[in-house]
Amino acid sequence: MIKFKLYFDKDEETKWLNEKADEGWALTGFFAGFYTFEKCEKGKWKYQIDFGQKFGTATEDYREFMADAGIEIVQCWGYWIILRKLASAGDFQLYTDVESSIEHYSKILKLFKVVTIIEIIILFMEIMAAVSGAAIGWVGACIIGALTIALINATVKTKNTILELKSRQSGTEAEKDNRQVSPLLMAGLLLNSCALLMGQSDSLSPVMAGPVRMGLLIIAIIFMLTGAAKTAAMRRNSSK
Amino acid sequence: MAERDLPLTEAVYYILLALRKPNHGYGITQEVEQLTGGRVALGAGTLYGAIQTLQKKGWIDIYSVDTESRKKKEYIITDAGREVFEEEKRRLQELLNNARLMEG
Repeated sequence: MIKFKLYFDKDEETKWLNEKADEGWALTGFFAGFYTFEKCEKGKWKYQIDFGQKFGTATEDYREFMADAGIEIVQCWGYWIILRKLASAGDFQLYTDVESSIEHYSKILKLFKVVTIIEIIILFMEIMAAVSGAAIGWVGACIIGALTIALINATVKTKNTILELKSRQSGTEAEKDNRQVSPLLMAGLLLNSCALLMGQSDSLSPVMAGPVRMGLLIIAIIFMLTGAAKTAAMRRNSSK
Repeated sequence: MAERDLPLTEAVYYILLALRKPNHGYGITQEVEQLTGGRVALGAGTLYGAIQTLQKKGWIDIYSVDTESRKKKEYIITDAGREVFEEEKRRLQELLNNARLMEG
């Protein structure tokens, strides 16, 4: 079984993988959002996702260490390492104290920040291309825009996770960062890119494309406006 | 040893203690669990990260790597590591000594 999913939160991803394993589906591979599952005994495996030191691989030392602990490396993807352990071999947790959890999430935060900046640069390049005449650039700009929002949200969420851990460590209440962007804005941008793409292609008959494209555009605009308003409202509430 | 090394985290404290004699990764986890009656269960990520850091600081060292017999990599505490541990022990002793004030 192959499933496609885009996760920007490794904790939610871990939860999903463990739910799948409990249902009798064991993850055996991952590639660009495509998760490959294999039938297994229900609840046979426990999954965890680690953040490695090297891009695309795990160090020899790490492999040995995990193998000694009865942990199997399922897949390395970017800096992510998907691990699993037989449920019969006991509890499987990676980070068991506040200090190492903070360190773990700090590394993730750093990655999210860098990728967000790269996305913003690409976004500007797409907009520049679109403005200078390549209309297809708007399609790219909308898609990259949506991706950038997802990354900003992932960054803010990771920051909040670290803040919460730090407040647990010091016993003081941390102030949460509420600079999330509404997912509606993201959905609107994606719909808009579809509508733009339909306008680009000649293969669709104008009779069919006209109303469908119009409908899509209207929904996209409603989504984007509501999303923008919600985002603004969230920020206003947080600054109070 | 720099002042900022103290206090040690509970994980580091027990890892150093478990490495008073040569021990491998899984062995450390088991011993710490035993010593604390299951209270401190070291996760694989926590332990791996701590071993890396402690090696970098020179508080622990690799004891043996016997690749032919596929023996597990063992670690042991260094003199610098023992010094830090002693320093931490004195700090903890002070805490306990002062705790007597509560009784009086």
